[in-house]
Amino acid sequence: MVYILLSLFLFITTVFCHVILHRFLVTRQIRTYKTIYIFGLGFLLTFGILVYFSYNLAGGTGWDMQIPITGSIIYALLSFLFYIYFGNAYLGEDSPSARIFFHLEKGPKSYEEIISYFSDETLIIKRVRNLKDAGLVREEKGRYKATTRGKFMMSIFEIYRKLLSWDKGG
Amino acid sequence: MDFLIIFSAFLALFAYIAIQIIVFRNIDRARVIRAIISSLVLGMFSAGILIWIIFKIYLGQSQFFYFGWIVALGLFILLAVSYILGFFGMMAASLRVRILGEIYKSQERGMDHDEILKKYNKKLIVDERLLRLIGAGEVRKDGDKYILENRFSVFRMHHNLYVLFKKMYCN
Repeated sequence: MVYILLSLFLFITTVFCHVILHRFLVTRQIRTYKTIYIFGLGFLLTFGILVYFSYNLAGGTGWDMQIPITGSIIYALLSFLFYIYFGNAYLGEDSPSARIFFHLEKGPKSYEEIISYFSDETLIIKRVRNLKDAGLVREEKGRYKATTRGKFMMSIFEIYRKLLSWDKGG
Repeated sequence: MDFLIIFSAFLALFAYIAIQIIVFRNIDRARVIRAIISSLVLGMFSAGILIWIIFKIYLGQSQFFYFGWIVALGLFILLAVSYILGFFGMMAASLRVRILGEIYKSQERGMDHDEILKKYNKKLIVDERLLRLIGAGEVRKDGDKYILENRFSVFRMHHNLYVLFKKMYCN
């Protein structure tokens, strides 16, 4: 349990440092996604500390049983989940469900009102550009085609989709 | 001990994914949110039993048994949530993956903006989301108005977490 608590403590410390760093950079008019790399450093530090502990703690009871790799995996998974939420907050992209939720919190809405909160430009066109920037599609004379990377990614999703018998996602 | 915890948590995850695939092949897509939550709760119980059996075989009455079991179950929950939000969520709900899928299907012909919007647009997205929110019991339709159900839910928690992140990062 010592290893798990230590791993959680280091994760929370990294989150705290990340928030401080991001907010500091925002005040300097710098908005960058790269601050997320701090979790890579945090992972290395966590792994190092836990391995060090495993050589220096007796590990004879359930309380201090030696689990440095489990502790490191827990840190990595928490960082991954954090990354998902941070990514959405950073891009400022509410999911459509979240946006519907947000508007309905203010009171009942009709279908026409709900649909007026969305535009094809922000929902689709902006994301097509994101896909192009990410190198998953390429543009040729106004037409978008999947790149090798995009095809590879989609082929994995297609296999998974067939396994689930789902025709389409989104 | 490290190996046993990781092995049992991953084994439980693979079992969970296999069961989830079988279950999700037969569900109504409007009920996907409810199905995810139910499958996760059921998965936790099943994983708890599976890990218990593995630990009983390998550890017997060892003093590490209960601590190890709790840690392995916690690791399984983290793995399952990461799988749902990271992989299943992308396949089921990501707009980018859906758009990429449409472009991918057009092969070398490609698609322009108008063709993409014919296949996928705000109306289709909003209709699908409303269907899912109603199916999950988060929203109900009263006459021509959509009303938010005032109750605690995993979706509300997810939404509140997102709002908290936006505040934390000054967005």
